[in-house]
Amino acid sequence: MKKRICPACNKGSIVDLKKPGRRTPYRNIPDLEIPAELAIPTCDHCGEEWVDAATSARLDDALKEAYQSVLPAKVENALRQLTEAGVTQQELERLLGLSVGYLSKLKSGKETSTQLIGMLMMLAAEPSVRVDELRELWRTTTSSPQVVETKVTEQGSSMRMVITDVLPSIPAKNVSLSGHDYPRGQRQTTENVVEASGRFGRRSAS
Amino acid sequence: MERRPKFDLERLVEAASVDAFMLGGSRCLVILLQYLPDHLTCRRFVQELVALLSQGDFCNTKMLEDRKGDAEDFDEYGIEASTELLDQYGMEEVCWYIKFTIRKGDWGDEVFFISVHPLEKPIERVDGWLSPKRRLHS
Repeated sequence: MKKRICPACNKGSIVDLKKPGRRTPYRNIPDLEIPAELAIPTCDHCGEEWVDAATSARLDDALKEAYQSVLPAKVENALRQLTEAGVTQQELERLLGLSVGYLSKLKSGKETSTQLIGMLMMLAAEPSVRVDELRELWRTTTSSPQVVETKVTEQGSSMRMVITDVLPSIPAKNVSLSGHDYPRGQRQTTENVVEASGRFGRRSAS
Repeated sequence: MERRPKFDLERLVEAASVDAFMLGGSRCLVILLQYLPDHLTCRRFVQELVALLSQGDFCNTKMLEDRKGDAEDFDEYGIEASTELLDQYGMEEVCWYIKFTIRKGDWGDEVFFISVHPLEKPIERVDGWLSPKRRLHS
């Protein structure tokens, strides 16, 4: 009986190997652990795996099970981080357009949605910022800066002024504005826009 | 001198069509699983890719030395996958490298070992040079 030599190294033999600590990409998880009791034809010299159809099917079955057990843990972890940041499950369900109790089903593994779990993990990575952003993004009123054209008749020129009040998270003094006619070397901010417009007198929105 | 593969390509295509091959080598599965969701999908992709191979895609017969000092051979191919195949599997890598050998199995049977990964460097084939190529998002 001829032994099967590994064609990758031509040194070792391909044997069915069971061992813990093997990891593989599977769906959207880059490092899912392969169950230790699962045998994979592996070279005993170079460690290269050679997988036939039957092993592929067994691997996929085992990995699917492992994957299904990882997802609820991801949900639970994300929800814990969000709750600690003061975001309730009820508000999250509302923000994400989910039915009441859906997140509990996701956490228990009764429901599966990898897209939703991805979204929860993204929110949980920086809850106070990202949940606030999501609240703002759902608004139907504009949240982008309003631009008001301001004519400065004395100088015969015009400038644009940006009203930043609708963006409370951005301090007005840090917003750089388009325009000109400011003292040389001075940064253009809302304060000096207002100052400039006061200096120039009339201001009219068009 | 005309380059000729060591192994009959038709036999490989036939073995692939009935899913009778070992897939691996060069961390092939780890690479394929970065593009495809699971092992069975990887096999289906390889089956369809191999079905597209022609003699003109042959590149070279690669020799490896075994522990007895004998040489073992692999036939190397490079192929530009069809748009249909790339679309079907959502692939951005257009050009692929395929290496295969046929060995005697435990029971005297023949075992096809196939290694597949995106082409990493230009290769010269019977039909001319092929270089790595990516397409924009499908």
